Amino acid sequence: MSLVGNTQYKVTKRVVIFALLIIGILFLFFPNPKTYVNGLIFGTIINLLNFRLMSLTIKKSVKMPQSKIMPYIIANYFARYIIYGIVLGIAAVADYISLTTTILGVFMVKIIILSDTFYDIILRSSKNRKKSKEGR
Amino acid sequence: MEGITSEAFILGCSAIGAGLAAIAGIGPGIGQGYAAGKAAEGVGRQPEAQGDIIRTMILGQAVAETTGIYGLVIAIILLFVRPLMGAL
Repeated sequence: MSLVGNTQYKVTKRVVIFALLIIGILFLFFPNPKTYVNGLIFGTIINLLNFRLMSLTIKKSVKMPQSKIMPYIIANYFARYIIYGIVLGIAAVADYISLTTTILGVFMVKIIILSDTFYDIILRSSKNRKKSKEGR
Repeated sequence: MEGITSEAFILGCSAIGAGLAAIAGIGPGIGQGYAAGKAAEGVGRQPEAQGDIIRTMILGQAVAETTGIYGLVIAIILLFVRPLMGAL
């Protein structure tokens, strides 16, 4: 798998695991979590699909002539923005989907990308600790 | 001429606020366009680094995109949830 494909796969895998973890927590602590779970699944799926759409757009844009890149990227960005608007609007109107968890689902990729840095720092420090213990 | 009711005033102000919040979505789009243009320049200068450049750009743009969605979320909440109506 290419470097870009590998990164996409890693982010998608972590998002799915994190979403499943949150769904488990919702089932544990809420008496009727169906609306929350629906919202989270809805938001997360749309976010992952938009992430995939964005990566396809970027891959294509890099090979385009310089003058056409900006309009192409902006047009695609607004297409994704409208998709998010429709999704959030549906979540706000429909009573079987929770708006709060849909918003959480929509931000899932960002949460994973930002937490990835902290995850790596924690992983590295724990490895260093192990090495220093073995050295003693 | 009759005056407007408090509810209508709040609804109107909420709609104006939602419109202003949705303007926040324009910035990230322009920013993404600039970033992609510079990335294309970078790939043209150093084609062997294409994978690294695209990977970094995808992660950066995914994070940048959410700043526009913040405004959209505020707009949707103002329009559909109407939190200010509870203040009446």
